[in-house]
Amino acid sequence: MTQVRLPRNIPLESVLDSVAEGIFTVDLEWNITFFNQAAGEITGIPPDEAVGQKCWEIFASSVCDGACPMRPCLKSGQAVRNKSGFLLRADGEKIPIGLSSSPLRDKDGKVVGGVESFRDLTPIHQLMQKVEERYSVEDIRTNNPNMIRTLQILPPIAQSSSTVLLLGESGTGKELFARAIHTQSLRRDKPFVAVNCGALPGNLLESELFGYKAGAFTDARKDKPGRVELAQGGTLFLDEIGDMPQPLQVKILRVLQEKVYEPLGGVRPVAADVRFVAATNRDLETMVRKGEFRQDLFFRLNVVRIDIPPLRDRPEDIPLLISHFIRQQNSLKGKNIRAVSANVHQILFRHDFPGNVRELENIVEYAFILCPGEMIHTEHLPEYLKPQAPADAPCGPAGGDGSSGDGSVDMLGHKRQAVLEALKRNRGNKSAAARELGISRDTVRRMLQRDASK
Amino acid sequence: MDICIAGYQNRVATLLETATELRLYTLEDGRVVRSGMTALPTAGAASLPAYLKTMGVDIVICGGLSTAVRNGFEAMGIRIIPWVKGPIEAVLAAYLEDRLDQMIMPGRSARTTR
Repeated sequence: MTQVRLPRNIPLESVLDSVAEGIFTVDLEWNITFFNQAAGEITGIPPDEAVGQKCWEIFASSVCDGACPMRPCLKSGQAVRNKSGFLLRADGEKIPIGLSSSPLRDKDGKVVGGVESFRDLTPIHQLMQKVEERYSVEDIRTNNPNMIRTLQILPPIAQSSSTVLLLGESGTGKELFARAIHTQSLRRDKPFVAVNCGALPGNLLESELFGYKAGAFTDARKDKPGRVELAQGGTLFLDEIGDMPQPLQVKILRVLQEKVYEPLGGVRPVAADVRFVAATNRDLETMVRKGEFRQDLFFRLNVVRIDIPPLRDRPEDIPLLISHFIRQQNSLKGKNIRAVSANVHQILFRHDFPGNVRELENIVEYAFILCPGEMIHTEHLPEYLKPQAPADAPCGPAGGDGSSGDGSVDMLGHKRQAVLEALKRNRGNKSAAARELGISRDTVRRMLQRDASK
Repeated sequence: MDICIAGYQNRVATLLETATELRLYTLEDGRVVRSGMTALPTAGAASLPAYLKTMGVDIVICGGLSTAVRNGFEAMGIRIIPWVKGPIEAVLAAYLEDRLDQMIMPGRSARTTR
């Protein structure tokens, strides 16, 4: 193989500093001998502080203790490629990484150290998490003391086989809790199956839960497994359990008590090896008193009860969640928004979030559509949040002209302005403008039509 | 007072989650009067605050730890000294002599995550 050398006037360091992957080298004593700019950005440690230190003290990753790819690489002289792990930034943030190691040899071919390259896999990790919906306790982000205490008892609860009842308003993250319980449990390698008990009428819900045998009714041509069977060995999450019709409550009670169920049209009971996690936003105790929910089922479900407070009762979580959703949306939408303005913070702190965390997530997602710059301003918020709010500084090149003379904000005006500016930047290319704004081409077209009809 | 050092082999583990042993020391009048060792609970680092609370631990000395786990320790009333490096015996001696700040990993602060 022909060796290609850099021209003499180009220092190798400047090439290594220009790549997006983190790269560092070590000598045989594990002392860092080179640390490129990207490595500094990903780890949060400046290169000049890293050089000369032991690699594990700087890199601080999950592979450092016992799973270091560099160790076998230096021993065998062979490169190790595409290992995965995470590193911990100085601010306590976990960064998923992919890494590869190769030995470094002197001109005589003797191994004199190693080089490790790594890249930040946060965007891929977030996409995967969104697709797989696999969440852990650490994905529940909170600074609220009550929530932190709840999270502390979650791992032992998850490890037990007890039924868990999650209580909280809509949008507080009951399913996230349920998934975290499953991920932390001994059943984590088996399915997590969610059923919304309020989404289907009683008879459909019954066949959805328990399945049916061929011939059970006119259209039942072959056996259909129910969710209980699909969750075998894993966790069955019964969302909106308070909406479950009473006749079905009896059948679920039987599964909880006797660990058996009968599919529709079945002639013998089938064993159910399922851990139940149920959730509701309704007041089950009042429903029991009114005779709307079976008391025996309530007691069966209420073994471990977790109350998830609404977002308005934990305002300290608002900044944390905003940052989290901004990071998430940056990964999903390929944008680089850094923060929200002070005015937006104030508006969000004043808001009582009837839709809880889900509402906040939607607000950030909405703002991402309208904000082409690095800062989310009031004009990028949904209209219902700021009827009398003064507009603050414009976002990037798109903002500015949408506020009316009295200082209030004309949302449509801002949207149109954003579209027009994006069109200008993209030389009239509607598809490119839509892509930049993260909206559909049809939305761009509609905005322009409205503009023309004015 | 009981302290715990999260270790890997004979040094402080790089991360709390990758620790393979928890060294426990009971201190009286600035001296170690009892010591022992236990493994990390199977439920992982997230369950560690509650686990160590039941063991009566007051202070945890460790390498890096995530904000979520750190919050857990604080909720349990356990003081945490993170980003510590070095051989376990040297770290223990430094703690007893009140010079643990000399054993913090480069670029970090023992108070970084809070």
